[in-house]
Amino acid sequence: MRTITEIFLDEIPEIREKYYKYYKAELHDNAGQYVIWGVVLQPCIMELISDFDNNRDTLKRVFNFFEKMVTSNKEEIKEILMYSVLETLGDNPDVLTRVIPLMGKNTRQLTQEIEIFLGRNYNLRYFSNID
Amino acid sequence: MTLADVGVFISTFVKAYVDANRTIEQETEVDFYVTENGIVIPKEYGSWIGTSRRNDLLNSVTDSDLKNAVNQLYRPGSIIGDGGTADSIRGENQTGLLLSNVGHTQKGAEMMTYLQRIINSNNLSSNDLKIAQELLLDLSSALGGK
Repeated sequence: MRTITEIFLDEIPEIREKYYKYYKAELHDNAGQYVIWGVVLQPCIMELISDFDNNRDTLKRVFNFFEKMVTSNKEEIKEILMYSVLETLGDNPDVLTRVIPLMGKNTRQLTQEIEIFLGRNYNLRYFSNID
Repeated sequence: MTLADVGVFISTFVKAYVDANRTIEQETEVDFYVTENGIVIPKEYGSWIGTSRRNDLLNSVTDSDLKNAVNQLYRPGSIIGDGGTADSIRGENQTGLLLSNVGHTQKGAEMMTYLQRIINSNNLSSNDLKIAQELLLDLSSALGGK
């Protein structure tokens, strides 16, 4: 059975090159999905966001994929995304404000809940123009 | 109690505070804490309020893989304990407030394996090794219910 990482890389193939830039066999071979998403894929996504205008289309598809993960009937798929990627978006307001418009309704809702959970309520104002 | 319930609960306390300053007599006891970020927390969760040590850790660590681990484990601005995954796990276990079925538990377990691999690589300075071992122990303790 394919992992969620393999499905993601098949759906967004242009990330594959970045993925192998961050992937280290000695640390990541057979590692859990939280490690792969948090330590390998999360930096790939941040790299895409750092050059937002040139990667807008790719990021749209990334966040479309995230919406599918959030609404997956497998709770662990949602949790991998929540605790490896979504909770890091609010670390930097510049990142958060750029990606909120790309988020699907459920991803947006979940990201707000994460910010409340962490006590970073100051980030909720960035969602106000969308809701 | 769901997170939405907590949000309503907190909003109610904020409103109570504002109302108290206007109309309620001075002897009224207000039962909440206010964090450095200005977040209002019900009294029963007050012991969980802390300051994230992420920046201190990132400034102390030199190994790039260990920095990645800190980056994943600690959230800047988080008010839950020291802002790390281990304290999130402890908080979830003790308050019952979870955003999902298992909360941060599985992340904590998998990050322990990652930290152990970094330690086993033998590439760490003595200071980095000390920090990596401390992070590993903290996660192990949290997952063990301590």
